[in-house]
Amino acid sequence: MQTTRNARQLLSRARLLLSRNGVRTATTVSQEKDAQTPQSNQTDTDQGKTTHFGFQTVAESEKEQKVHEVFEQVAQSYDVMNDAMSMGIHRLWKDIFVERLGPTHGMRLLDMAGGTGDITFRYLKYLANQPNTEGRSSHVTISDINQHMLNVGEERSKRLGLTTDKLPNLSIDWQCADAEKLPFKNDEFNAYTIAFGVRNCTHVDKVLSEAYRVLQPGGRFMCLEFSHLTNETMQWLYDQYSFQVIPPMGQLLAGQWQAYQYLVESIRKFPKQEDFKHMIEKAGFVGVTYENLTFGIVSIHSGFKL
Amino acid sequence: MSNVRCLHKLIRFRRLLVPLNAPIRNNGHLVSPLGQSRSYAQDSKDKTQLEDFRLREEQREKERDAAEAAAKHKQNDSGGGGHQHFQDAEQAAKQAKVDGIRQQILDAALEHVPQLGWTRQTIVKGAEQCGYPGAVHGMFPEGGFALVSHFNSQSNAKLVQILQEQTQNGQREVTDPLDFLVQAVRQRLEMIVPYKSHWPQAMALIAQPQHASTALAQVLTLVDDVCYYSGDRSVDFGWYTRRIGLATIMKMTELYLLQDSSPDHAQTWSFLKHRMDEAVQLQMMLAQTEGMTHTFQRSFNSAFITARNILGLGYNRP
Repeated sequence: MQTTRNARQLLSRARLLLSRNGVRTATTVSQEKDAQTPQSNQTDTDQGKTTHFGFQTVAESEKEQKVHEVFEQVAQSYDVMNDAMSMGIHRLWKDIFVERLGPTHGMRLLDMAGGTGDITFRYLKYLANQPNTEGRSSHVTISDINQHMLNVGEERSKRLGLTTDKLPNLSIDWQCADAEKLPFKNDEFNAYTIAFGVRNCTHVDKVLSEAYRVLQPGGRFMCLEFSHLTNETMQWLYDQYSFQVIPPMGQLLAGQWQAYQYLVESIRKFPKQEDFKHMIEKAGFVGVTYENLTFGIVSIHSGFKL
Repeated sequence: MSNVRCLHKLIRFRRLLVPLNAPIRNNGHLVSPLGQSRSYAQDSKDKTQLEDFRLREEQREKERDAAEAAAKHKQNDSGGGGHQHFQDAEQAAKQAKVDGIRQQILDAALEHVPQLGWTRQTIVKGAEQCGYPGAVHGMFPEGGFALVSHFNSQSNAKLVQILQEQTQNGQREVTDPLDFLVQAVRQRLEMIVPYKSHWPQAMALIAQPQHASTALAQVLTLVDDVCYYSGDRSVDFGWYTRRIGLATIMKMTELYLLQDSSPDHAQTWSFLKHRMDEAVQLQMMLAQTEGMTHTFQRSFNSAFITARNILGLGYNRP
């Protein structure tokens, strides 16, 4: 924590310098607006309940708006930044994730926080490679709270040729929805995936219970998310990389420092693997397991509604 | 736990206080806090100090265990432990439900093996037959091998039941152990016959290194059970040779069975009989030599114990 405090001091001094020169970054604007509140997870203030937004504390009603802003700003360069930040490894993570899901024909998948469509396209390609002897039709609904991310995803799907008319027995639906209040009926899907999205949600337990609701009995919940490393030294190295390299990279490649600052901070705020597993079990899922990838940088959680 | 810590402090203080209260002069020396005279030489003094230290620590351990047991007993009586018990029971019930569904899906999937083989597709078909969506195959991350090991453990359990009935739980005397073994192996291999067309695929899955531990454990416990019910109560090295020998013969016969096209697999059973006779001759020859050493025995023993531990079967024979 010493090093992250130093990093934040450095950054705040940098912002101060910039503001003195008359440049208004997103942070200086938000700093002018935000009050200096002490760091805490969930406290009851006069205005109402608060929650974390990265390392800041904000009112719960504000978090959704702030997350929305973050993804509005990064939508266009989202994929480029993913490749740059993870050096392309995020493709392997997503490949492994879809392999673990093991799509079969007849599956109805809800790809939540699907955004630019990485998981959906892998799902469609996987199914296209499986022989469909019984001619069963499969479906995927790709959903995100942010319409811009979905628009970028639709453009990509047209470019890649993965649309409903080009693929036999596969139907794709693009739907803008809030994970905490899904506009779908009960038992509508038999698989639910959320990749790198659940840490941005204000109420994770509501997301999990909504997932339980829309899954049919026997359905599978799968979550791919950044998590905590098993090794202390590696965690330190990862912290250095996250706080020193990623925000400047975001500024250089996408012109967004604050958005990527929020990203790396929100990773630290997410519960550990075991704690998230307990949360999933509390929502009613059984047979919950998790698998760490790359020493625990990301973790795949899986549970069944039985 | 705090009352235990106080207990420790009390013991330590008591031992320190004794010489202060009553200094005893023994052979012109003051009694040390250990209560021992220091008239011995240095190294023996250290030895007695060590022994006393050990005795003290053992005493403390006993008192700590007694105090913990008393505290736990009190907690159980008061019902504070009741909540924990309820949570554990709930977890166990959930686990039992999941296990039941796993068994149900695998049993249904076995019916589709002759058409689809030992693959994930078969499990998906079995699951859909039970009314679950295809996504539940995620409960079986080992894929086809989950089906194979389920079939193997089921067949092994069936065989053990048959043997128990035949020997009345190991009580009745087995008149011809050799023939008994031959019949047991034959019955076990006949369970494979319905799946003969895809059995080579199953053997390939068993041979994969990531599944080696479970597969080996299953074979060794099967062989162990068969030998036990055939009346083998030996305690010499023959215990190991008999089981390893039986496992080898069983595998050989299984391979022979896969390519046997004679009516009712008659050639396979005659092959089996011949291998058994050869094994008996070999054993008689080996019994005359006394070459085996202790280390061999130990290494064989560890394989069997590990196999039983992997499968979670204890040596609780009826």
